[in-house]
Amino acid sequence: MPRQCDICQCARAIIRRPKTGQRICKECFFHVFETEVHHTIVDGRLFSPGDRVGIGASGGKDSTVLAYMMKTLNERYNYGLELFLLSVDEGIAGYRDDSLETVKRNKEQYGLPLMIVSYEQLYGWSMDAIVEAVGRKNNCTFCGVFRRQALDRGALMLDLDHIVTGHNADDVAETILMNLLRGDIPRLGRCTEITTAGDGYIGRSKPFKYAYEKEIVMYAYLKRLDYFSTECTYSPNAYRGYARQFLKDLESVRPSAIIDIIHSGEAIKVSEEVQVQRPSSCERCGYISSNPICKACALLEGLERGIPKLGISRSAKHVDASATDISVGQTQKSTHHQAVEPVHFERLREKALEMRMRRMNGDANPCAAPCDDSCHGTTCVCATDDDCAGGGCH
Amino acid sequence: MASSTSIETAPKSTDTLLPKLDFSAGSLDLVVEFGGGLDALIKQELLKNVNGAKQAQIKFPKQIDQHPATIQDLIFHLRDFYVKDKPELFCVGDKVRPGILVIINEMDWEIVEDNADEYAYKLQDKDHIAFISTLHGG
Repeated sequence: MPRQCDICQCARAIIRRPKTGQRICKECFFHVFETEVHHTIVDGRLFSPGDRVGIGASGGKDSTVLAYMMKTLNERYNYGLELFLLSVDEGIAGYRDDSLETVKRNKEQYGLPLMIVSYEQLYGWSMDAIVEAVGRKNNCTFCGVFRRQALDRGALMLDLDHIVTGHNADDVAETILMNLLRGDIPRLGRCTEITTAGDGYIGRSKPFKYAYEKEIVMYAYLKRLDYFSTECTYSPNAYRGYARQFLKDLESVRPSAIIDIIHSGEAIKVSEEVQVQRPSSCERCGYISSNPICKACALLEGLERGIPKLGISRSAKHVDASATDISVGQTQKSTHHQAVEPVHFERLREKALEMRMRRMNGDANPCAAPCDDSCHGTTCVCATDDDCAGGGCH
Repeated sequence: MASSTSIETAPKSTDTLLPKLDFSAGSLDLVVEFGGGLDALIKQELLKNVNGAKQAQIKFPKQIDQHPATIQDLIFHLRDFYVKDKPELFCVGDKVRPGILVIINEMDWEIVEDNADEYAYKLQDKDHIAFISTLHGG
């Protein structure tokens, strides 16, 4: 016989919470799940009233639930946030183009402005073109490095104060395990933090840090949220796959394992000797980097010069900062490729400040006509399609 | 009413995909939903899109080998006849792969049978059973 809800004692229980073992009904589940995320946000002091907050949106389950949740909580608890959907188009045909359609539906469903930044636009290379050049083995490195920076670029183009991502408790536990297994102690120390510095200006945080994947999926299922779920067409990160499978096996016999691992990770104190040196800025693009040339610029240089291993191997740290005279004639890249020099972060920051000044002066929509998109968001001040009178900017 | 010897065949369009089942002890009408990316593992001709949800309508025997049909029987049936290839992405051994949620009539199957083996759940007519993967990126 079905049991009654452990909380309200009247409705039929529909889920056993993996964290607590409580059996609760649908309405109580919605309530406790939402309230926990609210507490995570409040306890972590993630935002201030008036903040412009971007939701990193892939169209997948976590970010779709996050967008819905942020909108709900912002209204319920009067956070006073201005919310945006911020998506990265890696340029993977048959995968990302489909998931971005989901994000576009979410934009309508939740009434949030959407900005999509693409690798093609930012770096001149789509992931499809990168895979064509480097093969399937190391392409995840490119994608990960470029995505991180692309979100920061998008955030500056929108003049955001903060980015939230859909990383959930399972993701955090998995990352703790991976850093432990790789002996990456500096990252092990950092990966449990709810907010990380990002570009050094824009904070990035995980409101779902303590939210179980199982509950996120159950929530999306019961609320019938519209999300996209297909595996990336390129080779998955095998190491992460093993860690994930291990974690799921642990969870099936002991559901609290995930939150226990996070608790252990938070309690680990990394000695100062292994903590990273104070990072500085990339000499080429101004992005935060502990080396003279940031990883993204090193990878890009490798691509442009037709030696993609350049940025992947450890020797990437020794890329000569002065070696900027890339001879196009020597490259082996595909002919349709057009070199793009990523916009310098100083320029993006100036632009963000300019936008802020305009907003403060009440000059809400200074763009009268769509630009041709060649400015990459640096000459016209449209942040989203909605800002642009002509439509179609960026 | 079905006599003890009658064996019904599956609908025409799918009869090459599905086995002949023994409905002599009666049948159950089930709706089985696949979500979270699991739908991609299933033979597409067996799925219907119902308001965005990928579902299969399945007529399942009330009894299998003289015992009431359980969800374990259904899982075997799905694994053997509905999954395209890579059955290991649906089942590990006889069990549903960890990370796949099973939701019976909007209820997490872990609590459908109080303190009992969830695989022993006896299927009921008109059950709606959802298999939702949590394993895809978000």
